[in-house]
Amino acid sequence: MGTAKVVKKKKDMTSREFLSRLTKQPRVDPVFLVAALLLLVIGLAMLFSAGYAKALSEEGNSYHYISKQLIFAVVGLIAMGIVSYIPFHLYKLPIFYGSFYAFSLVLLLLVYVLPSKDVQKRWIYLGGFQFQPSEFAKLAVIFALAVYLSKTVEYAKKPGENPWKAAGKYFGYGLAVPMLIFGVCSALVLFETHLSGGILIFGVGIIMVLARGNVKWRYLILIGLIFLAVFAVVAMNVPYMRERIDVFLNPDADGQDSGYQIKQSLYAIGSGGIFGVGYGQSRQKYLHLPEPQNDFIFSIVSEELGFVGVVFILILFAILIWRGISIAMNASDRFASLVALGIISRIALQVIFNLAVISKLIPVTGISLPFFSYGGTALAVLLVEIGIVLQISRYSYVKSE
Amino acid sequence: MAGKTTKSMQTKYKIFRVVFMALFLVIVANMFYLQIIKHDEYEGAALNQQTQDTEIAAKRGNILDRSGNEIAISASAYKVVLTPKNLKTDADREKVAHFLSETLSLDYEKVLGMTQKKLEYLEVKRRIESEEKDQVVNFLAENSDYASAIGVAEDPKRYYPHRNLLSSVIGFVGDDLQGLSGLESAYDNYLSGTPGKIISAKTAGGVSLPFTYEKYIEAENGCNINLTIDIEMQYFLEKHIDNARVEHNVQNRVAGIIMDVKTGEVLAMSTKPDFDPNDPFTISDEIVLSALAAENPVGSENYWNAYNSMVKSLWTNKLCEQYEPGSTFKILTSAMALEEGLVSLTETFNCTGALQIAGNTIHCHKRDGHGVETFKEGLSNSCNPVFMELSSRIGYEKFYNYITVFGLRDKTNAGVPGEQTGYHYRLADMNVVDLATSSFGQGFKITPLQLISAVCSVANDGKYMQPYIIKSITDSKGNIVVSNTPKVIKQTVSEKTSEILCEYLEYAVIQGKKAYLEGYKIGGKTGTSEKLDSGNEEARIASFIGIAPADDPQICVLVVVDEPNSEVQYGSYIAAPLAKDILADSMKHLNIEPDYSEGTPQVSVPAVVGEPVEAAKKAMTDLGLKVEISGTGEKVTYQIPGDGKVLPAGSTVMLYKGEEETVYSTTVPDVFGKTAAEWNRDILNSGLNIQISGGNIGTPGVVAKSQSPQGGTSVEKGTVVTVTFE
Repeated sequence: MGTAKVVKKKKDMTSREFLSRLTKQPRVDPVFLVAALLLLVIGLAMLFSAGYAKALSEEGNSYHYISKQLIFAVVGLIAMGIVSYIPFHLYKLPIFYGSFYAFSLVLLLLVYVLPSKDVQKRWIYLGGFQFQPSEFAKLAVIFALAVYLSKTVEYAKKPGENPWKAAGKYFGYGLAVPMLIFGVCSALVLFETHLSGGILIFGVGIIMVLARGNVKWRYLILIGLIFLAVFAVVAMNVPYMRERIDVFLNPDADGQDSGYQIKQSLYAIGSGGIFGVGYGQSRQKYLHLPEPQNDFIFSIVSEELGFVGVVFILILFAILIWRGISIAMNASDRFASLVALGIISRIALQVIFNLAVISKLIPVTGISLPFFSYGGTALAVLLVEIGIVLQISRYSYVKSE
Repeated sequence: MAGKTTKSMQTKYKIFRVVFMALFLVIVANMFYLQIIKHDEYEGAALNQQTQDTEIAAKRGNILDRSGNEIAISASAYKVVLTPKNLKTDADREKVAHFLSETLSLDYEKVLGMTQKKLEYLEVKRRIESEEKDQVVNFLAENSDYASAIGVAEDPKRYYPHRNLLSSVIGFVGDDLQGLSGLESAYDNYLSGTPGKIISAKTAGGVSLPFTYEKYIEAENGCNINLTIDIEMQYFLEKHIDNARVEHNVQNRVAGIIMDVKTGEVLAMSTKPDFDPNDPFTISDEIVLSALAAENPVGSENYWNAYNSMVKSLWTNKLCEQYEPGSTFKILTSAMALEEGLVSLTETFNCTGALQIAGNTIHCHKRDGHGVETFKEGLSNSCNPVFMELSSRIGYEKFYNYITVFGLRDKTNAGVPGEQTGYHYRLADMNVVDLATSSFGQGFKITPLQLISAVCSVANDGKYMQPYIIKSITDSKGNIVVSNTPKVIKQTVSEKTSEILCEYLEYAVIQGKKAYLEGYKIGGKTGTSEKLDSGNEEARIASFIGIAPADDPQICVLVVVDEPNSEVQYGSYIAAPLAKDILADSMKHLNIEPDYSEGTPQVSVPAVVGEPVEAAKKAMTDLGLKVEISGTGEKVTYQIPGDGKVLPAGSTVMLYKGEEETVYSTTVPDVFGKTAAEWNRDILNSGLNIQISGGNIGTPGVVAKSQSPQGGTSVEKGTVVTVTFE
């Protein structure tokens, strides 16, 4: 009796035993946890300050953003705690990552079908609730890629192998398949005119492929150049991208929209000086800076907390990332390692992109700042991801660094 | 299941980690650049847009007379401003335009045009009164949506409660209350103050948020200026010179100045026609308007050109501009000669009506000559040959030096705006004719202000007082910033010269009669100067400079009538009576009691019964007597007092004509124990005449002891009442 066999096999472990095993897992990485929690607390505090005026002006309630965000933070923290106990092996099950990936694809496609309030089709509205499917897609891609990359063993040229076949294998298994996995999602997000989301998925995918694959650097450079060229051609021809680049090069020509936004952002950052104008004292948030609660929240952080505060927060992020990659590096399992790397890369890329945008190092693209920007789903997903990394950290031997 | 991470994977992880950290460093470096290196620049730009500076206008200081009467004051008013870019829809714009045009009585289309501009700040209407302001405020209270688009701000205005009074000295201000002319312009730094600011944080929508910061920098109000001007004297000065202007149909200007001889304070000064500083660009004077209309058709381009240049010329103060002083200058020539001992008080001159100077015949105003006369009589006669003789005695160098001594070259620095310097010959350029004509005030130019200051010094024992019009300047907290006090700056002539000249000038007035004022010792000199550079040979300037009381000069009056258009243009006929009226009011105002004890010429009443009325009247007035005529008929049938009675000049003789029997009678007032001023008023008001007997009524406190006829008696009008003093 097949089932009996299974039951028999599980007989050794009662549900009580199962639970006690779950709860008696090794402890999570404390440095990573503390860094994450500090960032969460600071992020919430800054959201309250930065979003205060806009919330009052647009919603008639100063607490509009912070109260919503707090609910998600609490839900997210609970989820984080639970997830940190769920063995990561679960995610390797095809039923899990397969359906998660498929579900994300469906959501991404739904965006095109459902009626939208915005020009940019990146949101799904469900009743009073809205979320970006790309938030889920990012995680789905990480799982799928990690599964694929951890399973593929060797595709390097074997001695005496037909060089064409070897090359086909090399590109096919090593690049084409994984690129398909993240490329489909990335492309779908890009075509939502959600540039940053697409780039982010693409970037995370590339990092994961690079980390696992035995790719020769010369190919990599070649691919990189081709990719850049294609991207440049696309960027120059897709109107919304072209516009962003024009604005970046000549911000004053567009005084009202993104040029205005970046100018206001620089005013805010510059006003901060060394010690900032003080928590809650930002003047730029009074409707000068559009979206002070969202993509440009760090401009207000810079204004209120100054260079010292900026450096402090960036150190926290750096610790989170450094420690996160260490966890990934020393994970007990290649899949887990790649998942952790994917999640940390995603956070790192998003932080770097966001800060580069608000300080005008790169053209404006709508990218939020983890832990800080307003957005309930994004925060909840982020905390779940942190929970996954924490779970992985239980089985990761991190040399004290 | 795959195993752990490989070494090669770990290496790549490390590479990624390093790359991430490197990118973080780039970001930190960029933040350092933005936050620390570019801090000032960005902060400035940010503050500029984050804060709205609401300027708090500083209250412009007031200009007051010597006793604190307000001449120029700042009053509250408001302005309505618009931020049209905060009006989002056409419906909003129309509603706002409709309301504003209605409330502020403006053109609807014009206001609508304003609302359609994408601007931050527009002034819809300035200087509105508080009623209009309240309407706008109420509208905003009801329509709070427009609070970001419509605003009301203080916009103080300048107000001149006495309108034209002192306008050519005060000047006026422009739209932003900046001084544009006169004292308003010259003392703008003191008057304007420093505006304050409310710096409040604003949202990008321009709305101040209640919980944002606000900084209040208080405005520092302007200083108040106290003038030496006495507003009452200014009033009667202006009244008299304006009357004279109308009476003599003066083409150009009439100007007058009253100066305190002892202190150099300008008590009143005016030029007519002038302007209303409340509306300085409009001419309201009828005479000026009709003259303009006579030259060019009203409304034509030429008319408006002439109008505009006239507007500007009305802003100038004649008393600061050069003119030829004419015979009034003889006072100074006399002073030079006396001071230098070049004339004896007993010597005689012989005027034949003209003098030959270097081949030029220079006439006396009296063509048949004054004959033999003393220096005193020469001055009284205003005899040109006498003065030409004196100037030749004085000589070029001394004459030249005295021009400087009397302060006729430089500005007096009296603080009166627009002052010019004098113009006199250079020593090397002066020829004998120049010297001769200079003696009677022709051929060179000085300002009336220079002349009166110099004559004041002659009247003030030779002490040249610094003339001034600014008494003090006090800042908004009451601290005195500038304070002027009487200051002797030089001795022009000796006390002796001063004494002699005062007496001689009094004699000139008594002889000339036209400026003679009963009960007062007036000294003075007339002047009639040709306007040699005007191109009009007939054009004259009639002037008179007078001091009173002559034995102890308190005030000096100079009147300048520029181009009178009446039959006689002489200073004696036009300027002297004007100066007399001003002096009379001044004496009354300064509480200087009339003194009838001496100096008043006694006149013997001529017999006129049987004479034709006109001839009788002339006989009386020639002697300085007044007449009152009653009845119908051609000839005088009765006179009272009768002939042979000796009366003080200025007494009234009743003349009856025709067969009329009625004789006007009156009751003699009781003057016992009354002072000279009191009984003088009582008796003259009753239509009676006065003869004084005994005592020195000039001594203060002396009162009447007895009278004849007695008080209460009914007598005929004109009867002489003899009052006896202790």
